[in-house]
Amino acid sequence: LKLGHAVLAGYVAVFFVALYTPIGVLTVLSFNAGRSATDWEGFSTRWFESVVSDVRYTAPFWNSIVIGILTTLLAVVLGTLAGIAIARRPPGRLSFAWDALILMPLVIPEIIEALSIQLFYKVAGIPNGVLATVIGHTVFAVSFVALIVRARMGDLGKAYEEASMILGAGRIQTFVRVLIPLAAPAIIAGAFLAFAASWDDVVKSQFTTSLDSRTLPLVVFAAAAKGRISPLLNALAVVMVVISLSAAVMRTVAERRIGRT
Amino acid sequence: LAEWSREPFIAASPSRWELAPTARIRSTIGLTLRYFPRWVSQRGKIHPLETGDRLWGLALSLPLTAFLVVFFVLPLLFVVVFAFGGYDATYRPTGRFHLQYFADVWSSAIGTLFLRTAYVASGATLLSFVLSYPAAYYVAQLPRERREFFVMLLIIPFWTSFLLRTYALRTIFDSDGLANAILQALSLSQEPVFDTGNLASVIWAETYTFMPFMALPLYANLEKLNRAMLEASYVLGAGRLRTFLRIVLPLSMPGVLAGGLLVFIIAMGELVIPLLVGGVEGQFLVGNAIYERSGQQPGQASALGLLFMVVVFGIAYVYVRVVGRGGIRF
Repeated sequence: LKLGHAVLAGYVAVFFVALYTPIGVLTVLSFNAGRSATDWEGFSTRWFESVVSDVRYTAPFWNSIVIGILTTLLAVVLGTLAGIAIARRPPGRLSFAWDALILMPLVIPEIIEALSIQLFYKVAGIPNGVLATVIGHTVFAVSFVALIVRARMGDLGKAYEEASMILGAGRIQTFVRVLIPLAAPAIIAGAFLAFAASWDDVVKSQFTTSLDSRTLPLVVFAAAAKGRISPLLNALAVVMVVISLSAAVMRTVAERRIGRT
Repeated sequence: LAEWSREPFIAASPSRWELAPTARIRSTIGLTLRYFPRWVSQRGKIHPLETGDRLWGLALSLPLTAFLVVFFVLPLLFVVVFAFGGYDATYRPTGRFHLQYFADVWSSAIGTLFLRTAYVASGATLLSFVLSYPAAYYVAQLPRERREFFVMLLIIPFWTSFLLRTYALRTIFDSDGLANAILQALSLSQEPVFDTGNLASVIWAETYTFMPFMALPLYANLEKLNRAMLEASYVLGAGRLRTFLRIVLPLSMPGVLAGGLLVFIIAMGELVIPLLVGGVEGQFLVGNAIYERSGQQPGQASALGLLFMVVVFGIAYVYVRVVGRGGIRF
């Protein structure tokens, strides 16, 4: 019995190490002084310097940031309103339909979503660009916000809202001064999720960006698909990972606050 | 709104007409709005006082509903219309429908395409199930504080770019990558052992990348596992293997089902990983086929996409029915 447990624990250790090794290797190699992606030739930050000084990488970086922030804002507004509304509904046919509508963007394969929005844009005459990408990203990012806010508000129940209205606050006042503060940790967690989802997206971006609104993942994707592996690309990847990791960590912190309150 | 619709009840019906004109209009609007939702749905079931509440809920969810209908549901309908020839390759309406696009994609080795994609996706699903089950099981039986830490470790890769995780895999397992270099340095093998650019590397990369989708539902399910069941099984004389096969695994089937479905659906539609590590052979998958056609042949891409959706959700439906209903016994 002891042996079996030791084997299991050993396997789990390997499992978790393996989960993080590739990104770790990538980070180490991005500090390689040489051109090779495998032979270590000394420590250097030259690849990071080229990344931050080359407009071929800085422009997509800012595109990604702008698209990510706009997506987050739109997703937070739409998702919070709907999340609160759905949580206060009794279960029924309509709330089932809403659930389905909100879950669908997460279930439908992204290539189908991307194809469909391309067809829609072309027919409607909406040009590709920052706004087109923001809308495309919001379709899936909003689901995260709505689901988290709904879960949070569903746990709280309607008591706070009723108390506030009995004490004489109107609906809007109750919404702004009671419901929003109660939902705040969930909204923040959802916001980081929405940003991370937009920041990492490849497929939707590929279909909706124009030449001068290309995002950072697309630059990495284009270079990597051509088979180039270079320390420069590694450095770019590390920049991306650092940002999405910080979003992931901040989200976890925000979510812990939900548990505490 | 709540205030407006309350008014007519204070001023009883006959005297409503004695109100000032503005107040009369207000009360009429209030009454209409108040009874309208009750009239459209579930007649008579809702207490009149709740209708204002319902309206408020509808108003809150309206922006998102409108957004998703316009930018999600409507575009999906376009896929159907394009697939049946309602628009041509220059995005102009044709005013008639035909099945030519289906015929086009049907003649282009579509069977092989779907079989190969299903093979890759089920391979990735099975491998990620086998590899992550022990980890999920182990984490689920840890004491609470340590459990939280490991769950965080499981969630974080979930939110790091799949593109980068795949790219990182390639820096290690390419023919001139790190793994082969290490093997050579240790003089274990002079020939390159690992390589990417084939079907197997797509399966492994998808397994690795989608593992969290399997591990998290499994964990969520195993965490709720009743330990007393295990004790009972041991006491009644079952060994560890038997207890696992007859008790733990069947009880965790909902988690297996959820995780398996997630990984399978995502893997079926994946196109970035095959492009990065698939080579010529591994890129011949449904997602990539749709992607290739999307620029010049939107009709064919839509037809393929529609077939793809039917196949994926068909498989998902059968899978849920068979496995979820206990059609598979252990």
